[in-house]
Amino acid sequence: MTMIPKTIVKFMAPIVLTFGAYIVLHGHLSPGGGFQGGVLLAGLSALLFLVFGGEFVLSRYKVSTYTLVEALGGLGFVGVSLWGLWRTGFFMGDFLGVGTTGKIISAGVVAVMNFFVGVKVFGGVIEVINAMAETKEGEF
Amino acid sequence: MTFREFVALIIVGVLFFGLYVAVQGRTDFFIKPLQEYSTAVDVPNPLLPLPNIGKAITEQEIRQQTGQNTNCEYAGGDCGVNAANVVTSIVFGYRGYDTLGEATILFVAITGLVYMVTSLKGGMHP
Repeated sequence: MTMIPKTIVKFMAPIVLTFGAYIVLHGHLSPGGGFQGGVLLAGLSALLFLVFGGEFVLSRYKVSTYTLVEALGGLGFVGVSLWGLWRTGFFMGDFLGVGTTGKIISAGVVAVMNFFVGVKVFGGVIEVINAMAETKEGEF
Repeated sequence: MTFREFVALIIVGVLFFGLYVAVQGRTDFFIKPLQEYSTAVDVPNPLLPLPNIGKAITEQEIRQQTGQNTNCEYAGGDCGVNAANVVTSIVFGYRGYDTLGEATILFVAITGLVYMVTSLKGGMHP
């Protein structure tokens, strides 16, 4: 593409990443959540794919790394749920304190599961975009 | 049996042992009727003549959001999750199994997609 979209994406990239991290980490306080924030974080790779092309995305994002990220997110989600089963007797039971409503450290296990779902969706959607970048016309 | 299969067997065994230990000895899980777990409060609503339809969750969540139960140590019973975002506290609290299934669906779909693309490209290390 021309210089204008490239410059715009270069300026927008840190803003997009900061906003996505904010959506994930404040998922239990403000509108949003893990899923939405993860898709926002991964959406930057779609922007890069549109502007800089498939080879740039393939060199910037390795599939094996993000497979590991997604697997760790899912294992963390299930692990926190099973830990709650161990401690309280309920699957996804709350074994941390609930805290005060509205503070950043509150909501107990919901905030932790929110974070893990954000990590998992971040890895997964980046893998999808990577798979799109790997398929070129005439190769299959 | 390769090393990976042995490790997988160990992990699955530990998981099932944890489930057994967590449930073992607690017969009230299976004997106690479901109504005793319910936190629904029967509040008369002048706008809705039928009692307690569609508001069993909402009353509890509104009470959490306004922060009236600020000195709860653990969630459960009268104390909710204390999340200020009602949607997140429903999605990860009351509908946690739904979120787990959704994450599983996403995981399986992406696994199939990545497997298809890498096998068409000729393996993981081309």
